Amino acid sequence: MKGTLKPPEAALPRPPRAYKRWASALLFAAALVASGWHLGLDFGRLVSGSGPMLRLFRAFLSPNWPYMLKVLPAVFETIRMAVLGTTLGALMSVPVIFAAARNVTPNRFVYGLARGVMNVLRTIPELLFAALFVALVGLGPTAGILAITVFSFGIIAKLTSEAVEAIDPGPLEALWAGGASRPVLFGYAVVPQVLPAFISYTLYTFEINVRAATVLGLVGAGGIGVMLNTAMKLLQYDKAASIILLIFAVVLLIEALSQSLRRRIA
Amino acid sequence: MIEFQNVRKVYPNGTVGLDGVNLTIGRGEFVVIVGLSGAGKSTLLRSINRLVDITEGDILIDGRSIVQAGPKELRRMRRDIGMVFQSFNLVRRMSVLRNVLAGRVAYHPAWRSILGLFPEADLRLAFDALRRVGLEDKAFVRADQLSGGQQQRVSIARALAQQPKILLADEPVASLDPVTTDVIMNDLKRINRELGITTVVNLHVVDLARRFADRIIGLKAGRIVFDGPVEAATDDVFAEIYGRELASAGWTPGGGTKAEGTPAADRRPEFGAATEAPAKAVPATDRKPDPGPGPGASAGGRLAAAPPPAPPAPGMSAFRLPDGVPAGDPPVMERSGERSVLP
Repeated sequence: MKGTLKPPEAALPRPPRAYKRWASALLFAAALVASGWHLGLDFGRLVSGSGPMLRLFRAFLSPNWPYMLKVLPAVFETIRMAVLGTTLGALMSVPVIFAAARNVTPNRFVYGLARGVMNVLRTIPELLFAALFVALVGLGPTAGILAITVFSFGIIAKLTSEAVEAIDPGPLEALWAGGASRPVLFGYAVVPQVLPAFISYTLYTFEINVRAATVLGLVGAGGIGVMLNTAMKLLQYDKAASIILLIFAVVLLIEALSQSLRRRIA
Repeated sequence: MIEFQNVRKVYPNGTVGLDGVNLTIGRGEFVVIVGLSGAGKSTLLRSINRLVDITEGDILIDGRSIVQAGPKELRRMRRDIGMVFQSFNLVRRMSVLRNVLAGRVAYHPAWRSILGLFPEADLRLAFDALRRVGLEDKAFVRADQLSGGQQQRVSIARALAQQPKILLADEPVASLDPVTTDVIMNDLKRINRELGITTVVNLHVVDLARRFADRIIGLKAGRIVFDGPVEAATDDVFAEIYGRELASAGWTPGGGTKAEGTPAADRRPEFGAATEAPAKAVPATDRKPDPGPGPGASAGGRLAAAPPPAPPAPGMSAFRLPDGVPAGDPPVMERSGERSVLP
């Protein structure tokens, strides 16, 4: 047959040796084992702790429905905290978004400052902020909202400023060539290009915040977490299970909603 | 009128973009700048509206130096210079209409443009500009829904909405297919003739330069190596502009440069005459599709001769139609304040 591929007679070229990959895998496995040993990781404890676990599990199978109705207001409080905190954080992030984007902020000092603030904020976990604000403004949802605000501010500013740096400079050039001033470039070419990203990241942060807001109660910063903490401490596993199931449902629902919204924006 | 006086541009990395350029482009001319990549075509074009700052010399637009203009004056002068880019440079997420209205932003305070509060006259202008490129039915479509050729026509409409006296096109067809290329080049040429807008186009394809230019300027290493009417731009001239690179790329002088092979499908009737007889040196009078003299069309002695007759009174619209435009074409696109005919 003419023109078909024929297997070559000579030896095939060999790929470069893979020993480096094997060595890396081995090293990683050794590090894992060493860490577990050093921390005293003991899977036996799972067995010895199976008593409370079984009780919790059984409680999951027969949740306390009337109690669920009673915690519903706390669930709404949690969602309200997330909505308020996310919105405030998003609004606060607006100036920083642009200050932290090199292509629209030529001033190096402003750029560095904005980047620095963002990076420091993002190293601090939400729970720590919550504890901090509880100490500042006392127990209750206000502390939680403030914690979520600061946390959202960090994420939204970081993600969106990266979106600003990735915009197409073409339209800016075209407007500039046509005699537009800087504010016009900004409002006519920059903002329309990053608005979808901003909204999408804000919704994404909201998803994270609903989840996070359920935990903030552990340090007394309001929301459903306060009740969960109490139930666990009083060993009321049926109530704890009801709360966890409810959180599960609400988080899933909100994620589904937010994701469908985000898909429509993209 | 555009005047280059001993213009020199040296980039910070030492590259010489322009070297001793002296050049005068008269009102209503259709000039094509040719040369290899890196010869300085873009630098030349972009120094006209000062997207590139020159190192030495001066550039005058209608007698005023754009080089020495302050920020506000510069924006004023840029308002009169439309520009078309290789990559269209539209805000892809915005509607076609809003992209065209971007050509009006320099006429209003910033907040009005940003909020999209354009006067009705601007909307009429925008629609008229879209009509001129045959896209009025796409006004409310998002720009990224259009094909490349349509996007480039939107960008031409945006430039037209500025009511410019000068139109710069930097490789406007370099990322388009041959058929679409013809549509775009015909649009540019038709607009040049209908509205008398001075048009300067960068091209790197010899064939296109031959077919559409009235006057050709050849650049090589930042210097003007040829400047003359298209009839004078012989194969030898192009060989000189492009150097040995052209020959080694398989181009044969006198080989006809595949000018006649374009399908007629998308061709605009207005310029059929010009596209049919491309590579031959046709006397300018035979190529005019419209009767009577207009600034663009009448450039018989394009290069040496004086600019077209009777420059318009100051303050008059750049969109005034030249005398002798066919009567079937209603005179629309006057100054934004005046009545405008909508399709």
